[in-house]
Amino acid sequence: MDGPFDGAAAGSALQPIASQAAIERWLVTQVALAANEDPDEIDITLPFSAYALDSAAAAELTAGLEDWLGLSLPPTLIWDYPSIKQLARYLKQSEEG
Amino acid sequence: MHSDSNHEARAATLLYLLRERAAQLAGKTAYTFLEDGEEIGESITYAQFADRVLALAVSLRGQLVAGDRVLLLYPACIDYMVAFFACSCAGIVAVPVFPPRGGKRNLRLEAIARDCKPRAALLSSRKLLHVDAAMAASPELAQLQVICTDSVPAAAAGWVGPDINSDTLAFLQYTSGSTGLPKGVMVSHGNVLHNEHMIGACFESDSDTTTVTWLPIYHDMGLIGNMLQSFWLGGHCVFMAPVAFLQRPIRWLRAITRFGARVSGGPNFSYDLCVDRIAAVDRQQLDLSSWEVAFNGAEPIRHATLERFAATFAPHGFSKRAFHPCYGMAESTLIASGGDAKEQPTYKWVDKTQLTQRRIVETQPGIGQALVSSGRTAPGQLMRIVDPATQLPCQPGTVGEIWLAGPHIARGYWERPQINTEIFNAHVIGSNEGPFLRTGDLGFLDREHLYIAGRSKDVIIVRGANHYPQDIEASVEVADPALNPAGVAAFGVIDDGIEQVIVVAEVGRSALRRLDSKLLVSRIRQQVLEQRDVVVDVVVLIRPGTLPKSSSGKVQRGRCRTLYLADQLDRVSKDDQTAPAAVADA
Repeated sequence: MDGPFDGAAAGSALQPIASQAAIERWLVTQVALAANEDPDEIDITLPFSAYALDSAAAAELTAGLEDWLGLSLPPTLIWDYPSIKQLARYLKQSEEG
Repeated sequence: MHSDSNHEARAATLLYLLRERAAQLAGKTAYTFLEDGEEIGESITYAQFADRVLALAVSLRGQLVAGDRVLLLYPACIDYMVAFFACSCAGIVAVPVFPPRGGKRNLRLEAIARDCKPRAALLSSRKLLHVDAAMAASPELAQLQVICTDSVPAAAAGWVGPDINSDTLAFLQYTSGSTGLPKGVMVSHGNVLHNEHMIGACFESDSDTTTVTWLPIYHDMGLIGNMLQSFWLGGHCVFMAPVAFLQRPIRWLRAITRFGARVSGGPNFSYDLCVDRIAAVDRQQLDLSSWEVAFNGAEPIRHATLERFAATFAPHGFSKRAFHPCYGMAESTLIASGGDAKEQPTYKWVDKTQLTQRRIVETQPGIGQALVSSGRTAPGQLMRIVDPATQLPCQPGTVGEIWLAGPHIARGYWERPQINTEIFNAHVIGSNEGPFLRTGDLGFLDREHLYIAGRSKDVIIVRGANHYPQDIEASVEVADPALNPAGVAAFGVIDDGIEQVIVVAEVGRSALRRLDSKLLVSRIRQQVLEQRDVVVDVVVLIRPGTLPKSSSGKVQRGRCRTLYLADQLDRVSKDDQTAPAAVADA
């Protein structure tokens, strides 16, 4: 079951609010794993497609984010926020939401 | 229920089927849609469904002419099925398509529109997609009449319906051919109903059968094998969007548990996904004992996948006897062969090297390549294994091209008379059998069991979806000016049933000196993913002028593949996404 997008088990009200930087770091780690790259080489402004994340991998990523952040996210989220930077900003706003 | 089967086979059209089901099963739930794959979003009975279909059919006949093509632009939802039935019952040719996504151009949608010249596009404002940008992007799409099917006045009682029969074209299935030149399989009412009868017989289903599906409902397995099959049976079909399954695979198995589904399935990868991504603790809530038909088709079926899935889910009620490997294609409407009901899948171990030479040499179980049988030929169909070069029948146990004949075989592709003669009107030399469909797939028969042994057509299959080398090459050619646009080859490499996508590309002479191969590889992958929605597993950059070509300058994909496998390409770099550590070297 250990896919690249295992987040922490979904908690409840005790979920900490993640900073935008922390969300970016989480995404960098996951994308690096999926793309077989060094995390230091990941450019957060590049589209996810530059790292060959197809719709299946993108859907899996959103599941990991749901578990970690305690949010409900559509599996197509990455189509609307196609870079790590844009996605992290959106997720931070949703947390504060 | 089988006493009804002869009668059903005579039901000539989808309109007849619709009315029959509405009369026999008025209050029974036909379809249930699960929002996010979990909550019941919408459900509809047979009578309610028929009312909505007929109302829309009347409205469409007022706006369109019989034989007009109409694009269906809906996400997975009940509105889509209503629109599909309304078109085909009204003598209008439905063209289901994968919905556009994001605000980008959709090359495939544009190519389909160029090919079949539709008059209109149907959609629902309740279920609006990002269609505006995609529609505006091309002249073919921008000029379409957009018909919103949300609110349609109730049908006038006593509507007789147009003069349609079993030969009338019901819809076009666009699964064949490259994105640049898609081919629309012409499926008639008769084709569909015959194939539904065959599927029902293969699966031994009846009106008590509940089906659960996450498959895309725009073509073959999803549309014909699940949505229409369930309706034809008079059963209950529960469905969700494919991305809901991809996000959390357990939703599929939970739905089977919750609704006591008897029939459900998908391509081989979806069974692996369940084993890889469903946690042991989450498996505890599953009860898969109702699941009698777990069909597996659309891509090579792997022995290892079946064994792993069965072992993982046996403690939760799953029986290996449920596995039903299948084989079929859009050109045969859907099913051409299916596994024995109530029998475990049949395997055969053969020598790998001999198999690549199209020779079957049996080995001991566990040694060599395991082939999974795709079942027996579907009832009512003629299947022959034929030498593709000589058109003579092959001896049993010999690999040849699979040829099919029967009332479910489509009459051809939309407006492709020459290809149609070649592909749909083949005859076996030395017999007066035929006409046959030439499938382009290679296989052999062993004690009446069909085994797929390869493809003679140039298609790459990833997660059950067809991808064409020329499409991938077209995307790579424009990915970066550092590449030589006349020096690209794409092909698939299958290892133990898993297909990898390989791209080999020549670096341009002037770009060689200051080459940033990592960036170039990343651009190639990005371009292909954005335009073709497929991941390139391995990118090999090679020196200018070293891609194998024929004397006329045509790229030789086969030769390139051989050189790649022998590691004899003149490499500048090789980037293998699937390797344990990222490799980018000379």
